[in-house]
Amino acid sequence: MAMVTLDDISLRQHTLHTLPRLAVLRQEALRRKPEICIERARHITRYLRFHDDPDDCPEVRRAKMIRYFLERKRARFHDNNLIAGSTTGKPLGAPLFPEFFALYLWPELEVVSRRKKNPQHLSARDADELNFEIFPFWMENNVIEVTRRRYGNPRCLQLFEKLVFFIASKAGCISHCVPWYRTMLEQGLTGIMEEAAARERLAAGRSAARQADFYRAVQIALQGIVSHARSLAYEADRLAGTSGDPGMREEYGIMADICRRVPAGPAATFREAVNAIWLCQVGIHAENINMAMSPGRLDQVLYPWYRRDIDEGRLDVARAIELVGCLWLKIADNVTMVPETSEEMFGGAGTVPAITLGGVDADGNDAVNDLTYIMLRVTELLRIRDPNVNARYDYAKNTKSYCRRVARVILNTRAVPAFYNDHANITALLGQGEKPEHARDYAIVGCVELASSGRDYPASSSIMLNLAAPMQMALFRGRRPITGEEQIGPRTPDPAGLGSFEEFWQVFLVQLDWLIDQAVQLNEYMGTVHQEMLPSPLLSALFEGPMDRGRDLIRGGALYNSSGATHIGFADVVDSLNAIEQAVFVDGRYSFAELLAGVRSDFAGPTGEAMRLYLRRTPRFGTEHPLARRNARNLVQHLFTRYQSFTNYRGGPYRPSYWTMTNHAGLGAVSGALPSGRRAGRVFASGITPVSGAAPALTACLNTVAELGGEQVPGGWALNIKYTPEADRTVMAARFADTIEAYFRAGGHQVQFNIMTYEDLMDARDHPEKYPDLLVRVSGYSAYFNDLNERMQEELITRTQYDLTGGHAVPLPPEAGGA
Amino acid sequence: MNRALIGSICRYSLHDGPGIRTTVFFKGCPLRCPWCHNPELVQAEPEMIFRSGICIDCGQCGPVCPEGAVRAGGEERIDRRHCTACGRCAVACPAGALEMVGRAYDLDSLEEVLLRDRLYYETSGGGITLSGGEPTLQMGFAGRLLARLKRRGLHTAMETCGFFSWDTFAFACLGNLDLVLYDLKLADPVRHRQVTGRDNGIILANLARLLSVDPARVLVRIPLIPGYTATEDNITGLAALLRTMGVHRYSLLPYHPGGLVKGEHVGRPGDATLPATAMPTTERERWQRYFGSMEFVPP
Amino acid sequence: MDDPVPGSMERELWQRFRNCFESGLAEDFLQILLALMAVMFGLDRDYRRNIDRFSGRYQFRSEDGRIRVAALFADGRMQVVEGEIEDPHITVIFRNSRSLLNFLISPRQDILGAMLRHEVRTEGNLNYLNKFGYMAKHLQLMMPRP
Repeated sequence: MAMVTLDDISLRQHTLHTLPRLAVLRQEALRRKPEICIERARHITRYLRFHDDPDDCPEVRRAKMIRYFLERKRARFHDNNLIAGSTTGKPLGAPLFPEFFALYLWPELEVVSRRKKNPQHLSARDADELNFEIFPFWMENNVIEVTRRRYGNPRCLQLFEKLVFFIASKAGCISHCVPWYRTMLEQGLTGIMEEAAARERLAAGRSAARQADFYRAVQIALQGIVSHARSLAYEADRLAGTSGDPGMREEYGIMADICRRVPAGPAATFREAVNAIWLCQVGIHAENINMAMSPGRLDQVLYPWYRRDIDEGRLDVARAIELVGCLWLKIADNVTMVPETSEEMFGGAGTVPAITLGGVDADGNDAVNDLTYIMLRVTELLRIRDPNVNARYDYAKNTKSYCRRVARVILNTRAVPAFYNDHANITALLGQGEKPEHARDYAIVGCVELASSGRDYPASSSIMLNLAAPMQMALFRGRRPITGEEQIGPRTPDPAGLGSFEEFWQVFLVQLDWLIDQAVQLNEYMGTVHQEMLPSPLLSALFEGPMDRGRDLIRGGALYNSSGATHIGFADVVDSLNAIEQAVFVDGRYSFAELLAGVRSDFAGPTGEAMRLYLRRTPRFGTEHPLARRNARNLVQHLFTRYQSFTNYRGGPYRPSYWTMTNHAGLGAVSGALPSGRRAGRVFASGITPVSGAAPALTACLNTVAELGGEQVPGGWALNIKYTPEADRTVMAARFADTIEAYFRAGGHQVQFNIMTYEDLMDARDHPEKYPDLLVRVSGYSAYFNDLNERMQEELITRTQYDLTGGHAVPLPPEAGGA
Repeated sequence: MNRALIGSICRYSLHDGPGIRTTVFFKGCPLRCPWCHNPELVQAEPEMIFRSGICIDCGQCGPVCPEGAVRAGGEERIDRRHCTACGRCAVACPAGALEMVGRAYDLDSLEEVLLRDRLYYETSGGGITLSGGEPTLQMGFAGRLLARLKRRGLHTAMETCGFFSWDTFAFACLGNLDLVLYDLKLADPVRHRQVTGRDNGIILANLARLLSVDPARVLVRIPLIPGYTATEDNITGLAALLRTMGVHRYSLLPYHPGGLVKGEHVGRPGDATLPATAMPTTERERWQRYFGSMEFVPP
Repeated sequence: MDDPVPGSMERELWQRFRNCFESGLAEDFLQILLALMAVMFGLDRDYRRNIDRFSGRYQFRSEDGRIRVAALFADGRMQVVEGEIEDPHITVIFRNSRSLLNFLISPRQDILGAMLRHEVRTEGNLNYLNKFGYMAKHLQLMMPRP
């Protein structure tokens, strides 16, 4: 059956003029200022203070807490969106998760509304409630402090708290996955609850108490969502009677009916299915932090309902676009609470809920359908930060016109969606032991990470490791300039006495492996704490595996379990290895001691500058120099082997990946000079992207990155490419698509674009008022340029800009800064 | 000859034939056009480039020169009468201001570079273009290279000034070329000799032979150079010539001042009377009218 | 209170507190902050609510060891002690008073920067520092206009 039946896949006739509801909702959304919502924190704190029964098992305690909150969560309709339900009590809300790091907001309670960068509004009354009622309860009870107490303030935790070595996001987040919505849509939550009840009885009969408890917890947690849907139905009914807008009165009536039917019962129509997914997403955020909780392959999941409604005349394309647009805006209704302290590292990020379109289906056939194009069109029209939309492409199975259509959307939005190569990503997941039909059904999590939809619990943001740290420790015998005289890593030999590059490589690996051990150790500690404190019975009910095994996701209930470790400073560290090898051991131009002196002095004086320029001309990552290729490959290979050798607390391996959010800017700012010739304080390159200016030829850059892809990058990567916009977008889109396809055939996992010039971005920096909602790709997610801090803006400006008319880097204008 | 002197290799090139291509610039040219776009490729020997703009005056280049041909300071660093293009100064230069242009490649190493972007040729319908300088000055090597590329199923093109021996060309290259980009400059034989140093008789004769073999494989291209080729007389003359020869498609390459700076870098400044700005598209369109109904192929 | 002129000690402390921001000279910033905090807990009932049911033991120490001071909160009272205490909930180690000022309440506050540059580091339960940060910030907001 042909799944693409649209006459015009670009859906040109549907615009924001023909879709006035979306136009208005979009304007409202873009103008909204985020507000902190304390509703969740209030209710879960009350629950734990007054109702918690410590004799219940962790899953049941957690489930009751979630149900308590959802039963009390106020039903609100903030605007004329056609989908009922919202993440928080505010139109654009930051919910609080005191289990994790909400208490970092404490010092800022009275100023967060007024801070300069990205203020988040908080009323004085709510601030008082947090200060006097809510936060004090959590002082000893959040994940980090429980871990500290349990393990006696371990070394790895102290190292994490220095922030410049690694970040263990376990503290902040266990979300980062893609749920499985099909069962819920087909059977309703009631169906899942009935199954859980039956399994509970069976387990009780077998005296499997722990399993019985889990099934009980599932039922309790899901009751919470059903209960909240009921509140929404009452409220919608009330508004249907009172709204001044006759059109909306009717819509409220429909929404009231929908909320009475789903997600408790099976979805009968496309609109019900869309709303049911959204209500489950709201429910998930009652339990799990709103970070990268990714809806997944919605063009696949929703397609049967779409097709049936279209075929039976209940739905037309315009209405489908409107509903999908409403869903996109709903998904964007929340932000993470960002304390000023995290602004530098994560500033400007949304919550990065990833949606994945296109690619192949579980059997390996072309999965692109009408809904794929509808979702692309919505993405093109709305141009909003969230959801993070990603397009899969199988060059053997998907059509070239699909590829060109995606390219065209990127040119028109200048930033989204990101592009994913099915071959490389499926290969990567097969290498992790996933069944072919599961690997083919992968979706993107958060920034760029890979997971089989609803089967894979990848905790993909568990570790963010700063590769510049082991490089510096290798140079300075286990110390770093930033932490002074303190001996951090093992005391390795002074490189000045080393006789070969191979010896230095071994020293570097000693420091790297030691740091990985520390990061993994802390993740294991926190994971164990999570198992007791923070099971996810609600999310578990929307996954494949936990229901069969009677085991929560956090205890390894998913079909596939892993923990992700991403890396910051990859290109800068590879270039440092290259420079050391070439300068000291190949050319013999400088002794290691001289090189170290240059690095220590930040290349001071004319001789320092001459050294730095020379170092920057040694083989660079992003060129095809054999030495640079070998060092990059060796590092990727080593990280893969090392991480895979660990087994996490859920019984799965660690998966390395290469994406950096804005950490490469924040960490670069506080890192000393490197042998690559990078000056102290300069931003690192993002994701797996070569250092700005290091890779002048586009195809050489793409080839050298692509050859690293495949099995050894099971967590995915972010490659950032900036192209000069051209006048003729049709011509450019064709060439653009050809180039992407070649990069994919070479093995690249992912690539994302900014279609803008150095000058465009400098102008946006200097005249923010002219660019109120300029969307840019950071490293795996989108942000509004104005929301980014200065350093991150600089990083975006100085990123290599390639001309697609000649495949060359455009020289960076001197006034752009950078080094 | 098993090795060729190559000036540079340009990847992701879009203007030297269909699709995404890699263009190989051979070093050495029989013509001496004052507007030359690639003046660093004219001499048939290696030579040094000096870019004063990125020099940091560190002085590391002078002492390493065995001929004493590197002078400190100033815009022109190289004493070209004594420079043997040994390249030691370029190795010493930390900033990359000194660079050697002209590197000997054997077939294997050149082919390796050209195959790196094979996937891009395949997805876009592109391939390899031999250009220069003048590739036919190193005809034997060019021919063997084309044969290898053809065996690999790649699309091949050559950009030539047409000043070559037909027999050698027909024997060595023609059979392995999918496209010949044939540059014509001046219609008048006297003027042609005056300006480029060579007669255009051979050039026009070769074009006629080429057209008789397979007109579909030929694209005539005319650089539009203010004061030289882009004159009423010359364009009228060229258009008439093409019509007589039965050419039905052509291209016009608008003037670009890029060659002027490069000329300075190799110590051979071009014609100072040439404009410092690129020719606007509107002017190119004006010259197009002289060619009537002949098919114009955008550059 | 034995203060001969009512409010004069308080006024003087506010003045010195203000000087810390305005001059950037923060030599004895920590001592002033703690003293002022203690005084205001005594004087201001609303402010005192912050420590009504709070018990916390804070150790502050400069990197060079010249400043060692502790703040103890218990039974709605605050006590400042010179030297080292046993079993602090948190120890704050700072490069100099200036970095502590920037860390806690400066108008150009740069908490992460201070931590990333390792001008301030901590040992122990960070939530105690978060609470202290709130109380210090609140004090700053209570500062009378000159």
